[in-house]
Amino acid sequence: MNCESFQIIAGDLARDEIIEATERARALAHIDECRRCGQQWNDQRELSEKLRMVAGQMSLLQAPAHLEGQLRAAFRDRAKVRPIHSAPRRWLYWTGAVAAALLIAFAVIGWRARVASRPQLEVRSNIGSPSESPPPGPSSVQATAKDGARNPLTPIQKNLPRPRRARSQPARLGAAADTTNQTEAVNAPAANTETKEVTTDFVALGYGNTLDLQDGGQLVRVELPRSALARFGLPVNMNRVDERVKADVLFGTDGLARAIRFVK
Amino acid sequence: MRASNELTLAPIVKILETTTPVTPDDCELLRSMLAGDEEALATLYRRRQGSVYRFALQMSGSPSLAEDVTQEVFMALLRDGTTYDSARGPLNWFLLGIARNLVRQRLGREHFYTALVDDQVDCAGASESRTASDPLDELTRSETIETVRKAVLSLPPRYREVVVLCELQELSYAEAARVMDCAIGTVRSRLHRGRSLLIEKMQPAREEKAASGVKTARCFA
Repeated sequence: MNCESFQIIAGDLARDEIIEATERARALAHIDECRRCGQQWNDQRELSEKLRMVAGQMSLLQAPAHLEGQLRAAFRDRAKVRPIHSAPRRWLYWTGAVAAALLIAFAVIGWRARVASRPQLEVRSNIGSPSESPPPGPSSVQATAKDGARNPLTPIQKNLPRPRRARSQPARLGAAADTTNQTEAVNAPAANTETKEVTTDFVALGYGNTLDLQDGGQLVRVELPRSALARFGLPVNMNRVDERVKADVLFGTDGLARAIRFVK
Repeated sequence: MRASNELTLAPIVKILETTTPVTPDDCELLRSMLAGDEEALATLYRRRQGSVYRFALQMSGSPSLAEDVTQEVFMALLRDGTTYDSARGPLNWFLLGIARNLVRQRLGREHFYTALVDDQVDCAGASESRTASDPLDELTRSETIETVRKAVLSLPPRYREVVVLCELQELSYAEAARVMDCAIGTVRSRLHRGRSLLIEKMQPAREEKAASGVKTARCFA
């Protein structure tokens, strides 16, 4: 062991800390060899003895007796004061609770009133109205009416306007209608006259393309290959895979398909 | 059979209950104290005030400051006792931690570094317990203790607190580390440095004593 290593453990050695036996033996052997470290060892041991002496002498020291009395008095004062403080706190607590309950109640009432004042979704049949003929759908979509065998390309529209924009809706839709075959639209019966239809929920087409139809929209009945069901995670009956399936495609005013639902 | 066993054991149980008094631990006492039990406070105070007071005294050298700190520590326990988490260590460490912070604040504010004048009064009770076989030995011993205490008080606070905790309060490195809220390695290195400083500080006193011893010999010769 060299002097540097010895100095590191000299304090622990003098304090009788737990040290490995081999290291301890080497340190003690070093003390015999090195006079300087031997002196340091003596100093450390002497210091430990003196510190123990001080610790021993002070070990019986206690705080003055009057401190306990003061502390007890403070404790009693605190106990007396507590109810005085707790009364307003309890009052505040209940007041806060009532205020919070009232706030929640008002919020619920307000929300319900707002919901009630909002106009219900209006579904208008555009049959027989040349000015509200649908815009052309995607070229791949083959539109069909309920009795699509007779008029396979007849679209069925449902306008979904908001009240403040209601005036502008017909104009826009009317403009789009110029490109459609008006006669076919006239001949098509309304989809919502059908009473025995079962539909799925609308499935959004594309991310971020939610059912935001504040400017209105169009619902177009189409027929798709049954395999299209699989694209939307719906089960496909493989025995009837060749058959076609009806669907309602919801178009926005920009002409893009927003959502689809399947009809049985 | 069962009934007869109960009958025979009942007196023994009663004796055991009367002969072994149940001493509540610090946590139970603290709980009772916070619930408003004054006796629990008194018991806890009597049990723990000694180490807190001694620590403050050894750190400051001022009995009045040590008294204040002791009182403040227990007042803090009354006020914020709910913050104590028994999983982090015994209550004594918690109290010493509070005492350490208070002493540091007070030392920083009031600069009590060498208020040693009235300390000997407090130590008198402790010295009385020892049998003074030789008055000269007793005097030498008192002088040595005083020298060591002065040397400890002259240490910078960061080394002093480690010396006080590990040497005078006789805590382990781990315990001191918990009180000081630092790593064990920090405690070890600070103690090493503190001890070295103490040896350096006590060196002149030893040389002076040796020199005075030579003079005395000459005088007798």
